[in-house]
Amino acid sequence: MKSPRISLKLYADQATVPPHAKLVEVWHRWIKEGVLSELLVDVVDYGHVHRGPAVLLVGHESDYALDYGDGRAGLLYVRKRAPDDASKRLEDALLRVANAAKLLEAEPLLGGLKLETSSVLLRVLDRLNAPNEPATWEADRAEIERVAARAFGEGARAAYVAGDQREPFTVRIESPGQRSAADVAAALGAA
Amino acid sequence: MAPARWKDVLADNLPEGLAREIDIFETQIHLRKEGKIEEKLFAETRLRRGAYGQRYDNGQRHDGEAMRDLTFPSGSLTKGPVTLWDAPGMQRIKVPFGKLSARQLEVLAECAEEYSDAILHVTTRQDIQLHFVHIDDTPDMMRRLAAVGITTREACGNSVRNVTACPYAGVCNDESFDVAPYAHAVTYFLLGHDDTQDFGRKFKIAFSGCADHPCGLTSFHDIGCIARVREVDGVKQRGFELYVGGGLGSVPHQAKLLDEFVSEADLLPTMQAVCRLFSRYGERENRARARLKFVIKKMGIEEFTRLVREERAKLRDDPRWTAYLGDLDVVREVPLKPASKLEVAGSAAFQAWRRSNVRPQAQAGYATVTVTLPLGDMTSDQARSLAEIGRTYTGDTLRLTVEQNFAFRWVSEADLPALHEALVAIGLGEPGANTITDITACPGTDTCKLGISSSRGLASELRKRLRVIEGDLDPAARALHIKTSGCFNACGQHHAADIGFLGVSRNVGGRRVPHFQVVVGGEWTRNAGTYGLAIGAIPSKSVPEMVQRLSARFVAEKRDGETFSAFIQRIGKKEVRAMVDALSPVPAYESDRSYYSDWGDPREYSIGDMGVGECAGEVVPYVIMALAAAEREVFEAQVLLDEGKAPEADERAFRAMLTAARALVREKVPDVSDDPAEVTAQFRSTLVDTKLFFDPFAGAKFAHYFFRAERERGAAVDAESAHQRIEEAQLFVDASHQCYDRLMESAAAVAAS
Repeated sequence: MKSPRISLKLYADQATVPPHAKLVEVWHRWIKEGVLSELLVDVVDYGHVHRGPAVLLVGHESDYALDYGDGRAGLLYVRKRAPDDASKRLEDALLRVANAAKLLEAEPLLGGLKLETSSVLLRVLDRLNAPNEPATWEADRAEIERVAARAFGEGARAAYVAGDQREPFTVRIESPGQRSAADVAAALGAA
Repeated sequence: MAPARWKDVLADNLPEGLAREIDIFETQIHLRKEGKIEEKLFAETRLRRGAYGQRYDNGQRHDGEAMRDLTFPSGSLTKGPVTLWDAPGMQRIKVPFGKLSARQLEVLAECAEEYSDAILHVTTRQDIQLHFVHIDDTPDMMRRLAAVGITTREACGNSVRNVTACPYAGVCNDESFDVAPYAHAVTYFLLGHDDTQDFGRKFKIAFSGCADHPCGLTSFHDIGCIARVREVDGVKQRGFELYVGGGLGSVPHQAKLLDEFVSEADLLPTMQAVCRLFSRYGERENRARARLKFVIKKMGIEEFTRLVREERAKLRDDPRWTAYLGDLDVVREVPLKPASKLEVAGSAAFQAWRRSNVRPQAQAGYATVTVTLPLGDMTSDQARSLAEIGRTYTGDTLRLTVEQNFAFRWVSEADLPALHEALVAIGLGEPGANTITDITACPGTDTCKLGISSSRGLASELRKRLRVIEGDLDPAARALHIKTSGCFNACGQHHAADIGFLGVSRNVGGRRVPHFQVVVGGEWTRNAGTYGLAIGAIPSKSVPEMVQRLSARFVAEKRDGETFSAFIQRIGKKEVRAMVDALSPVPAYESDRSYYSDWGDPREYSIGDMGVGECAGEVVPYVIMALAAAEREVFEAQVLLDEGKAPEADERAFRAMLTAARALVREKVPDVSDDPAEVTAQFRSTLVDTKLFFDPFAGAKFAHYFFRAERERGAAVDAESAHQRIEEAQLFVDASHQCYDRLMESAAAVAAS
């Protein structure tokens, strides 16, 4: 993909979403213990905003958030600084969000948070190089479908979500959801 | 194919001057990366473009147990002294007098989404701030903003900052006239003007349409302009009552009257003359005393006024001084919908919202709607929706307010229910604008390098609790204003609240505990006509209880029509102090650790690797006792001032500083006497010259308060100078606490090595 600014959202099983304060605590510990293999900087509590990134883990290369952006809670991943190799960008972003999801699901303090892989929201935060229009979909479709199949299995389907041009370019990837976040991470990590 | 670049795409859309400035900035970024620009120069360059530092940008972060390095990929490359290149920064974006079009708001939303964390933060000076921005992304962001008429130029640094004005200008029932065109003219006249490029410090200007209401907050600006109309020979003339030298910060000053009436034709040259004098006489070395308020304090308002008139007379004519008067419609708004009358009562929720968030305009059939933004934040999605709501109901009549909210002007009254519904749909239909739940907060420890306590964490907690009981609150309590600042720099404007909080830290049993000074007696009305004073510090975790007790007591004991400020004056600060004292105890660490973390941040607040010292616990060191005594003396000085005894108050404030200074000196010179001259000399040689009494950001600023107080003993004192001395004494005592903590840390480090 031409743009490095990719965001991916894995939706949570709504009944398993933990209190924000618990996630704040977990992410502070992640920073302290270097849980992720990237530089993490701080945790921000935006719990007061409506349908936003309620808890944000800020990193140098990526941000992670418990996000309510489209009315559903989920783990939002935003890649800010990506590999130079454009063909690796989406795969790399998916691997990171799946890995983070796997670790969150295993956090005892979060009491069994479950993140689903049956529907993933992909957005490209670059209106210049990825305008929200069919031409962008045509240009990126093959790569998105290839990575989706690799991550979620052959049953995965990607569809362009047509919308207002002021919004970021958006694609929804759907799959039977038989793979867990850990499975997705394993499938991509084996590359 | 190489990715497209905003520079190329927007080449034909940018004003030539702005495009060139941004190109130059981008070149400077490259030169700095190559080591061809010195870091201090680059720092001031980026600040003048609004690219500011942020917490942890020195590459260090305390995780509650120890300080750890943040290893950014650019290594030791810096964008300023002790500011690493890759560290996230804050981008401040000027929005003159808060006026925005729908398209501008959309572009701001896009920038927040693409370069920041999808949150737009409205500041107390009508700016937008985006956080966690990489310096490499700033030129493109600036181009996108410039393409819709927004500049970040001079948003930070030693320059004329965003010119603010009442968000109701032009639609207010009480104003003399619409001040917006004048704020617009001043903005663009002074932006990049030769006479504003050599300041030693920042410079803030505000406009208000009237003297009584707080919307413009002119009293704490370097220049405050209040609209006036006078009649000469039957002809009405527009002009401004002009005040100079106001400011909050560590030492707040009320602005002084420069001129009762500066005509509209003379407004720009008078401001130019003030700017020239600030350039000429403003302090360069000591940044803590570099604002205009210190120039005026030093020379006196009479002499300053004389110099302004003299300077004004020397200025060469500039056609721009009056050219704008032919185009006062430049910011005129045309209503999208015809005036109408609201015929329905609406739901209970609508009525509650209407009571607090809707105000009728001077123009019949129209209203202004205030949208309450929690902590001044909105998401990119909300910002886009607000732009769309604007297009549907009002057109480009959007404003940001100094209370960190958003306003729609020219709402046809019959549209109010539908507009409210649209706001509810995006989570912004809450009532409570300008009430006790609408709390102002600076960034504090969330993102600010100078933050001591979590002002936003506190504000969020207070808001959460107050909203639960909002419906049951007495109207007098509901009308109170709360403002929180994370440190003494007062960006949360805590001096101008009914109840203000100012972040400090205290050492309890060898551990640091986040605290807030309780500030009462301030006045939000009359353009912030009176500033409050700190009564004493309580633990952060006790602040919600303090708010509950203060508001309940006000409701129970207030007299008819009595304001909170008048109520505090009547019951006396001793009473408030007793309330503070009741909430000041901190439980032992072993029995309740929650006091040792700040709101919204589970990390243990204690910084550094200082463990529990031998003196902790049962044995309270002398210095802690003495610092507590110093705080008591500061409070006594306040009481003396309230009793009209300014000279005694001034002396008591000095004594408080002396007590604190001697306590610290005793750590180094155990047999120091209590002779002020000896204490001062020893304090200088053992603590200041050695940089032990040295704030990482403010340097020796607080020590100089003490030295000056010692020098000025016996000089004439009035209520204002005594008030300032008390402020300085409070800050000196707070700095003494920090100094003691550092001494302890360093002793612990030596012991461990």
